[in-house]
Amino acid sequence: MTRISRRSMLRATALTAAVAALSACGPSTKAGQEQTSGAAGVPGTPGTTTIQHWDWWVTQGPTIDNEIKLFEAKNPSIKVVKTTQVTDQYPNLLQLAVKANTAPDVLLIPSTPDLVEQIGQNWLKPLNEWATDKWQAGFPSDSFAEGSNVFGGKVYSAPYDGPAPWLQLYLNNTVFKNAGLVDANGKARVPQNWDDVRGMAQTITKAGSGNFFGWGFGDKQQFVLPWQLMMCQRSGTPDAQTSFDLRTGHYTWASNPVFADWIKFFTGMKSDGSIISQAMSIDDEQARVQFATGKFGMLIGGVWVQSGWQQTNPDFSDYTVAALPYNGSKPTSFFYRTPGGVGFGLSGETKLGDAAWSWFEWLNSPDAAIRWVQAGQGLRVFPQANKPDYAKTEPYREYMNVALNGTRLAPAPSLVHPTMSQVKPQSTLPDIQGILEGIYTGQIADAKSALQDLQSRQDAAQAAAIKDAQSRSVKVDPAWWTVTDWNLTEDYPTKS
Amino acid sequence: MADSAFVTNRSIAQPTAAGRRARDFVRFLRRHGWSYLFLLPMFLLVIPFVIYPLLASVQITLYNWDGIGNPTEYVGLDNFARVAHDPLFWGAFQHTFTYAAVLVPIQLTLALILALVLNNPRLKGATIYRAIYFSPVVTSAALVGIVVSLLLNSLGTPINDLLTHLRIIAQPIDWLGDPRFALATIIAVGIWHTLGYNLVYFLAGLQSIPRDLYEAAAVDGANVWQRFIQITVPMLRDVGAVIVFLAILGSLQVFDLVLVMTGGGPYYASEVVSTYIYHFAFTPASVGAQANVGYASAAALFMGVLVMGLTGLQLLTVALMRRRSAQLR
Repeated sequence: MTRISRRSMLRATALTAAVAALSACGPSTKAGQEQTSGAAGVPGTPGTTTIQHWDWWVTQGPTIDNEIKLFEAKNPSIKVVKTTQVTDQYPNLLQLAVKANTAPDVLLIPSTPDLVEQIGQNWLKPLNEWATDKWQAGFPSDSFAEGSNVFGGKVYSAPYDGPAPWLQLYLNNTVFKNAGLVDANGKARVPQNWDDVRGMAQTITKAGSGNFFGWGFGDKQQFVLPWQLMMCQRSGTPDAQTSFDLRTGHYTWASNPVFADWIKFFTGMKSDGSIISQAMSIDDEQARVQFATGKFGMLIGGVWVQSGWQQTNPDFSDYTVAALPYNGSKPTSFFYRTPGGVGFGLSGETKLGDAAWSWFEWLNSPDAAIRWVQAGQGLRVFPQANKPDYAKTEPYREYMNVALNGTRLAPAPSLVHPTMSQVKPQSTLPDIQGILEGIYTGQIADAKSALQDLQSRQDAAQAAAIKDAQSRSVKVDPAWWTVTDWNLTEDYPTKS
Repeated sequence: MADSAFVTNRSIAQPTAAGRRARDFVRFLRRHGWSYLFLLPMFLLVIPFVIYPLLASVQITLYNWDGIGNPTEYVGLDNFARVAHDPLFWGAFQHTFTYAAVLVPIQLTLALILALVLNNPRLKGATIYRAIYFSPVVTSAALVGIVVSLLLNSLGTPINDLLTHLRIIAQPIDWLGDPRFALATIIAVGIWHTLGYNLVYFLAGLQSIPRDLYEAAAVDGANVWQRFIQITVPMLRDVGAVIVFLAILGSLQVFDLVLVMTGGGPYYASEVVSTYIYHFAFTPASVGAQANVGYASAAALFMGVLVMGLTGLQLLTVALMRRRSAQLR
């Protein structure tokens, strides 16, 4: 190679490197940086403060966008830049952002890791500077609880959602009509118990002749089968998600017969041919679209599906919302809530505490709560926002009627004994999601043994976690996990 | 006189051994320096993004760690013991090897056949065909997985409709949700997705075989099959061994397709080691439980040792074959 061409190459390399270095220097979006540019690169007025907001809400997105618009109109010196992250990666993304000093100013607090760990890692800022007694008094009386959203006397969040069952049964009225399952007024007949569901599913499937079916779900993302199992929640178990029963202090997958009964009922529906064939390979959003287009008649989902249909199937509104069916002749348990609650928080890194608090306060105000309910996004913690009159559609009014009486107050020993949060059971596989998949697809032939195995493993993991915490000098007593005088049909106020 | 002066000068300037080595090194750099300079950026990137994480993860395998903050719960080799005793890990291991064992022979056979066809100088439009067969390779595996999932299981299920119309199947099949078909479906998509790589490798190998050999064989009366067996196969042996090992190594690391198409389900029927590791590292296994990056790192190290072992075997095999070729010459 000649000297001249080598020099040219070196010059070209140096030029390329310089251009790359210059292009890497761009505007930063670190939390707490005061910027003169507004959101999304739009030039703003000098002195505008830009705060970053993170959540994982998709169907609720337009409602939050509207709140941002209203907030900015009232607070022209503050701009809110919202980022909607992927739901199941949210904790990982937040952790990376904290490590990179780019955490948002206001964030929807993830459920994992637990709040104690998030606080320990400085993910969250104490709000006591702004969350005065007067502000807290605007919330219902048990909204702030030590061990829930208050730790060491410091407030880290406020409850956002209202007390409501988080899943309901949805009925496609057109499918029900086509199957002849309507009452004297032409409205879809609502199944009350599992026998009703199975019978109606068979009737619908027979009427459909392969064009539509009785029941559907989409479990491709591997979290929806446990939603079907939530039909046990009103059938004598305090926690159909984990099976942990505070009355005994143990997991109850095998010892509470309701779970085996449900498996028999649900696999029976499958063998009847009443469930859509692609249930295991479509995701929940695809299943919702199939429901909206009349491919099946019954679906389990949360209130978010209603705003989702407004976006994906805006012409679809002919559906009924009902409470989850129970086993037997009447419900013997409810959905449960505990004092406190967690919603949004301020980042531990934010340097714009005042501006971030303004936006946080706005989101957690009774007026914003009323708009949230009116937008069909569910109940809020403020009772004055949860009036059925605020419902703009019949299905949403049905949801509110189901939700308003669907919960009871549960014991919350972790609020009395905050060290319980330091007991962290090891994950054990296969978990209930895996086992339900295996039973549903036929890969697990002996469901009873599988449930017993899961129960034993989870009990062992719990016991090992308690022992491990004690070996680390954490004061915990296994007896704290047992509340023998809990009546599932009544409120249980937390006793200190 | 000049000669003796020259000789004298030369005798004064006798180089030392160190000086000779330095000169040899400078000569070496002059001859090969640019090659190493062009390799340097990649080498510098491999250190922080491959070597360092590999070494750092060895330390993490000794801890139970949920990925938040720093690892503090030392468990020694307990994670390795748990991996070794976990039937789900060995199931994933088996699926990974099944994936490789089925994909590699089928894909390489198809790739060789296509390469032989495309190597025909009389074939018109060979470049276009080559581009068509290579286009899946440049398509993101995640995108391929999503599109195929939609074709197989979404509204209308066109593939099921076609198969039932042709009476190949009696009832629609849930290709990705039925444990009997999930892994096989992923393998089929994998064969199609990376076929282009091996096609191009084989084509390059075929084009390096001198045409004279085929002409001479034809003159001697050898038919097509005899020319393939006696000329093509032996001449492709060296490059073929490399292709086989690369294909095996690539298929052992399958991840995107599985994660997007089935997530490893239903009930671990299509779980491979990569998705097993991913689920433990980034996704809490159940409600209320925590991810365990330490455990996931232990499983990853297992797999990494295996893949490195296979790489070593590949290098050894290629070296042996080259030595044998040199001896034959």
